[in-house]
Amino acid sequence: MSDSLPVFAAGATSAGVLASLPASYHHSEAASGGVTVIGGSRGWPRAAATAIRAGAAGVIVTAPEPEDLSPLRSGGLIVVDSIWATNPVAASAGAAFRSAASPGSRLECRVRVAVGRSLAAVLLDQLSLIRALLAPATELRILHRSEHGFVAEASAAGIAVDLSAICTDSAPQQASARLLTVDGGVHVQIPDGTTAQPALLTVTGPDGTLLAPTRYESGHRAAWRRLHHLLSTGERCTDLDDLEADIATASIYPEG
Amino acid sequence: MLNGKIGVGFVGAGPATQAIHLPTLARLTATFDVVHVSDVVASLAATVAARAGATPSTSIDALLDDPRVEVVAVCSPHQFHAAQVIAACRAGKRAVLCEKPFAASSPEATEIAAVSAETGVPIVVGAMHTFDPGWLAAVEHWDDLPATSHTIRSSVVLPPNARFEDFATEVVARPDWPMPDLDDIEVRAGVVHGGVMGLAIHDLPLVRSLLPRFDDVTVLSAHALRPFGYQIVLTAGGKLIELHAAMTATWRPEWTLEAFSDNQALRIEFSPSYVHAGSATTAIQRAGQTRTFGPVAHNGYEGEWRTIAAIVRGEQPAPDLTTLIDDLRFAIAIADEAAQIVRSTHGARAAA
Repeated sequence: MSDSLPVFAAGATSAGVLASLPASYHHSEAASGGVTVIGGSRGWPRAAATAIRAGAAGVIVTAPEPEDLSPLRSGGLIVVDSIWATNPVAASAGAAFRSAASPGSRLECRVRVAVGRSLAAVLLDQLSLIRALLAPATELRILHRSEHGFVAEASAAGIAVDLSAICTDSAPQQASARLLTVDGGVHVQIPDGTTAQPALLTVTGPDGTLLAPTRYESGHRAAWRRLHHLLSTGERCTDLDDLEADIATASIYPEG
Repeated sequence: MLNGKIGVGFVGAGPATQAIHLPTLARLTATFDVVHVSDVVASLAATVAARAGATPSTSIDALLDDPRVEVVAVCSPHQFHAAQVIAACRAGKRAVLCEKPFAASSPEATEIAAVSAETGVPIVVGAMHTFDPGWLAAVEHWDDLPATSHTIRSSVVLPPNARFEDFATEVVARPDWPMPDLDDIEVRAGVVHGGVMGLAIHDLPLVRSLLPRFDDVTVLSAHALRPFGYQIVLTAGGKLIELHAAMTATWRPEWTLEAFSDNQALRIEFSPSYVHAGSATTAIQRAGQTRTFGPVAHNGYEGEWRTIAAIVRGEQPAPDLTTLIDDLRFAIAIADEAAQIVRSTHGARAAA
């Protein structure tokens, strides 16, 4: 396979990502043989399955809503571009959070999202982030929900997790995760990927607070790079399995 | 008044008097003169009084009989507050500052209010954040946030008090602060209750001012955090409220109060307790715009003493006692229900 992959995509976000990866991707008018980028709105699994049947070597699904994934059981390489979890900070943040977690600690995962967003999808995005930072969430319990957001509790790798979502248009969307330790903590703030504004990862210990190097790269671009890497190396991708597990966990959230 | 200054007497000479109020009044020497310090421990009263050039005593009666004492600051253990505030009112002092909480129960608070009304002695509760210029700027500029906010969050991350007490002064006779045994369910419930009445109470008057009503407090979840802290989720007045605190060995304090509506966000970052590190910094965000207020050079401790001076001089009315009582009722309602949730959650898990 050549270094530059054909990509079949539409929309300003994809155009921006494509412009930032001109050696890795080039525009294509057809799905066959290349990469197809689809939005994650209702019905996306059928759209992804259609692209794979049409010959797409890989599919990127952006901001997937919780859906029945059975149309995708026949296989195909699918990379999930989740609003928070695909930020390029996720790998180093995950290492920091997992290293800091200990029995008795709690992970706070809070998101500020636009008014009117599907809160079931917001919860799914949070579960993806928790998976990236620590481990898959289990024992999810919704404490309160309204049109303004929700508060929930869960567990991940034996650590208690406090989740909350706040709907407001007062400021850009953002995720914030914090884990306090006996003498400091780990904190990451992740922007929503609309711009290349970097996530901020800080680790506080007895000697001070260390800000990890910032990466001015959106999660979309990082997802595209990862798919390119997967297609080039043939490495296994577990995105769909992980997403299906998180959808199952999120299914207790009543839509509407 | 002594040389135009207001004479102050302290009931209790512990860390709050030593590390909070004496350093604060040292910034206001043109206004106040500390004239009397009483404590049941004679040596402590003598040591702390000497620092301020004041008269020591071992009883509140001696302090109340001292005609130089115009303002009584009640900084004793919580359980003595009500009786001592009432005694100061009955003694005809010009004002009483009582550390929070100013009573242990709603009936006690009502009794204090009645005595204050009867004697005409104003009472100020030492809820320093309510006097912080950062908070006052929020109130001035938040437009319709009390009506439109739907989510409120208070989060406190602090090292043990000693770290900041030791920056504020050289504390003598510091009480022990044993680590609670959180394996004991009653201790866990006590930590949550004590956390609300001792720590969350700093911000609960602020939270309440964003609520249309508070007679419908419903605690949804409550946990004691290790080594000391709480995580409480509740609803009141139709709004969702999160209260969080963790006291760890960290050096890095973070004390925030946030409120959100569909189109506005308020974030207040308070400076830590004890030290005079300036006021809170307040940010009010609306789409595409952030307005920031502060910090200014004085914090809520200094703000409360400035307020007392203004009240004594007749420049400002006394605080509304109904507000103080309602603040206390709100805190007690949350503390009681959160502690009960901790017990019942444990019971449910034990039975499972």
